Amino acid sequence: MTAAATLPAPVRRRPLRAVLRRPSSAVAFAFLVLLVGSAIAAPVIAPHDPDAQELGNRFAGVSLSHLAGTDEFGRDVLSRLLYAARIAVTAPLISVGVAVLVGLPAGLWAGRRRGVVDAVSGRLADTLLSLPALASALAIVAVLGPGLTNAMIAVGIIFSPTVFRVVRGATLAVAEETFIESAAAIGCSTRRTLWVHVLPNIAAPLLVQVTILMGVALLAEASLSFIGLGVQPPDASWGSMLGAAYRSQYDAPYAVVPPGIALVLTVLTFNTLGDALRDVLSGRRAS
Amino acid sequence: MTAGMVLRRLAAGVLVLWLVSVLTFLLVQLTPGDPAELIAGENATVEDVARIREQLGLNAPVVEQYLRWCGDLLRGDLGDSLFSGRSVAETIAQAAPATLSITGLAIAVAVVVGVGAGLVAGLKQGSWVDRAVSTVATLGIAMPSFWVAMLLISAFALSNRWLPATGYAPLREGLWPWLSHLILPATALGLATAAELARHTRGSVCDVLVRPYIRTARARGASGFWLVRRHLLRNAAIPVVTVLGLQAGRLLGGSIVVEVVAGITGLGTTAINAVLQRDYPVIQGYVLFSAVIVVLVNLAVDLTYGWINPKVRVA
Amino acid sequence: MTAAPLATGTAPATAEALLSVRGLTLDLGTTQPGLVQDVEFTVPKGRSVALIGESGCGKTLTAMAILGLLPRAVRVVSGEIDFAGTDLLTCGPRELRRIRGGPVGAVFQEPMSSLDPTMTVGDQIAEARRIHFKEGRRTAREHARGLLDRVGIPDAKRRLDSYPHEMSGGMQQRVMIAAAIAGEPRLVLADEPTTALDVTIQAEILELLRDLRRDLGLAVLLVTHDLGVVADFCDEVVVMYAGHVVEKAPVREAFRTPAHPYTSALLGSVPRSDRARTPLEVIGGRVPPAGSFPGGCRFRPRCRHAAASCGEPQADTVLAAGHHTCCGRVAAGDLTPGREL
Ligand SMILES: Nc1ncnc2c1ncn2[C@@H]1O[C@H](COP(=O)(O)OP(=O)(O)OP(=O)(O)O)[C@@H](O)[C@H]1O
Ligand SMILES: [Mg+2]
Repeated sequence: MTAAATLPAPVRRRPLRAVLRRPSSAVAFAFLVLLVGSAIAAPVIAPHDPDAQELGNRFAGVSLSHLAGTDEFGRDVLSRLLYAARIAVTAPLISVGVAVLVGLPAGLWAGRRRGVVDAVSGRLADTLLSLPALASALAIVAVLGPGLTNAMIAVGIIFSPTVFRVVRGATLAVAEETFIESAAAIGCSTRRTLWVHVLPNIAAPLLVQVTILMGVALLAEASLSFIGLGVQPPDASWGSMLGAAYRSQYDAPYAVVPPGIALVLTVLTFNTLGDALRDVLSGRRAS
Repeated sequence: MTAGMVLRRLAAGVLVLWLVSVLTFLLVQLTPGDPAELIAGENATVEDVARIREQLGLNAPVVEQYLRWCGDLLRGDLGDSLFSGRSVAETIAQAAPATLSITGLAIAVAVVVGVGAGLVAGLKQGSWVDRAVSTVATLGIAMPSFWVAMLLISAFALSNRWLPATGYAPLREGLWPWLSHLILPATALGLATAAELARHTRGSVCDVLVRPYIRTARARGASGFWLVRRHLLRNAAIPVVTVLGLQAGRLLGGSIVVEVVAGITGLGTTAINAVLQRDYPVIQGYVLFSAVIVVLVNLAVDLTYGWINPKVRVA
Repeated sequence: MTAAPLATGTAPATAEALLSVRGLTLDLGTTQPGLVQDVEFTVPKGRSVALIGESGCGKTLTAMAILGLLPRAVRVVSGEIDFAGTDLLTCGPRELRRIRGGPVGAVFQEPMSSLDPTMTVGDQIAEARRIHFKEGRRTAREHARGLLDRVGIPDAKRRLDSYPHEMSGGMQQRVMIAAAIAGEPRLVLADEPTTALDVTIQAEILELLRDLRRDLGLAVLLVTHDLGVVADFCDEVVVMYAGHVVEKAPVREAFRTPAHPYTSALLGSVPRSDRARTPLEVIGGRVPPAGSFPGGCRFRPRCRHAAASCGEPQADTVLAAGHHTCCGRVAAGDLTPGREL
């Protein structure tokens, strides 16, 4: 380690720019843009209707008209992958949205009120976190019923204790700082203090957590769709495509590859960006 | 670790289980609409609905329902499946060995591979081994375990018939039949945890290596394997053990999907069917059982932690 | 600290060297000037040598170079470290391991962080015996018990199974010392062994070291910034400033007639009972950070007597038997050695 590396890095004014300066996260960001782009443009760029069946052409290999082959109903795999990208982007957003919607106010509240509120909600969060996440998600899906939206809401509920903890921790830390006290002294109401002073300070840890949760949510979506509790036919997500590929693995052993790679790359993208954001926002440098 | 600490941990575990029992109980209550009607399905007769309502005890006031439910629970009575009519306890007892085997084996794989790789990476900081471990770990965390299971099964059980592709053989049929059915799904399931452990182990090893007491040990002539075994491992394990506790739940949950891929009838497949059929007693039993396992694992982790870290033992 | 009773007499210049460091230069592998530059001194058999200087002078690095335990970033540029006929810089890892914890023992600052928190003190003391004498657990444990007794820890048998955090700082340092002498060393490197301790405990630890030195015929290289300790404990003193050895002298001479302005300034910043009411002199400024050392005499920017010639490299000059200075102005006779320098 050189002497320079031990000096605290200057506070980043432009975290995004700092993140993009790293080659790995620049690549990740480019991939994310590509992904969102193809999700939006799927109807334009998809070579076929994703649901159009060509029963005479099942499990077709790679060809000019079907660049990634066809599936068990003769549907074009590439088009389905492209349409599934829409779910890969939106489904995690549902979960993360729910998690923030539940965890953020609860965390702010517990962090500000402390005392009994804090103790009880903390205990509850710990309990939820100690349960196997997928098992809890299953239980919630049992209540809400299967389907993509319900599944992602369930995952969001499972995530909320994580968000709660991050927000609560950051709120406690910020509350220690004197400017909150001075804000209280000049008569800011609690709610105003929260919105104006606390929120900007917890934005950084929250952003990091949310980015990482996006990847976890996508994995959860894939798992739930794989077992048939998430996206319902004829819609396709990468997870449900893997499920179909699994059922036809004797006919088309390589069908598990394309959706799997799409999944891994996307999760990798979220993780890479999350790690980079964490490093940049906490003032650490790339190792 | 003193008896008092063990008792405190036990009490905390019991509290968690109590909270879980409340949440599980509320599952049925929270169902939008009349749960009995939902469960019975569209073509059910009025009698069917009434029977289910009776079976779930939905006619009594909520508090009474909860107390009765708890009483049954404490006697080990988790109710009966709404579909097969078999007792939930029996259903779970039958499915649990397969799931616990996969999960346990996955933990073993994760610890051996993850801690081993992390240790080597930490000791050879900056070398190609280190970079390789960190790359593989990054990938490992991003890969869905059920996909890895499919790839492994396709490679080792379908393309080459080295191992059985599906099914489960209980341990009493012999070690190899048991192991041969589980090794692929357990490896797939444990991979992400191994990756997580490798990262943490590496960090912990790097951190410990620059501590003054390592320098002192070197100054006494300790080196190589002696230094690693007597000074590095224990100290580096302290933060890693905590991570392992957090991973136990993830593995138990993850086994749901891996079981499907490996064609193993375990808790996961039981739970999935229960969800699709809204078989509430089975779902409740599954969630409670998972919670008990996780609480037990965490208790074991706490005890291990106390054994590794003498500061906790007396504190 | 009381006025220094100049304990042991001047070392005869002929004393046989146990350790001799010659031309030791360490750097960070960059173009910066060395963290430690041309350091040269000897520790005679059975004698005690102090290595003093302000924080950041390179004392610890010098001691670590002897043990072959330099931080990764630090590189040996040149030099020789001869210990009883072996060059520790070229001898290879096996020989180094034989010497570490065997003929050369070490005691460090901050016993709390220097003892392994997960190992009983008994095991830590026994470690050197098991490694160097291939003793079994039981024999080594017996030895450890004897050593705990020897360093004055009561109830040694029970204490063997204690963990470091269950002991006070003074006790921990006694354990460190017991572990350091377990390998029957001829030389002990003690890097600020008392700095982290309370004043009363400091005196006890020094007393213990003195007893051990007498009983076991140990040579000691004592790294410290405490001149009281030096006067009390050592035969000779090596003064370092910013990686250079600026003066070497028998302790009595160093205290009476320091021959480098830095030594004299150091002496001025020690409270002395005979001048208890005069305000403490402190040296203005600080040691420059490694990498921004000036050329020539590195003390020049802070020296009252700095002259143009101080910008040139300073030669080592022998003033009397065993008394060396690096101050060109003293060597040239411009300045007279003494406390008022
Ligand atoms: N691992 C390292 N990497 C870079 N520089 C180092 C390293 N270790 C020490 N140094 C530098 O070497 C110089 C000498 O350090 P050293 O620890 O030997 O000082 P010291 O005389 O023992 O001081 P102290 O009284 O504070 O213990 C310091 O300037 C320090 O910054
Ligand atoms: Mg030092």
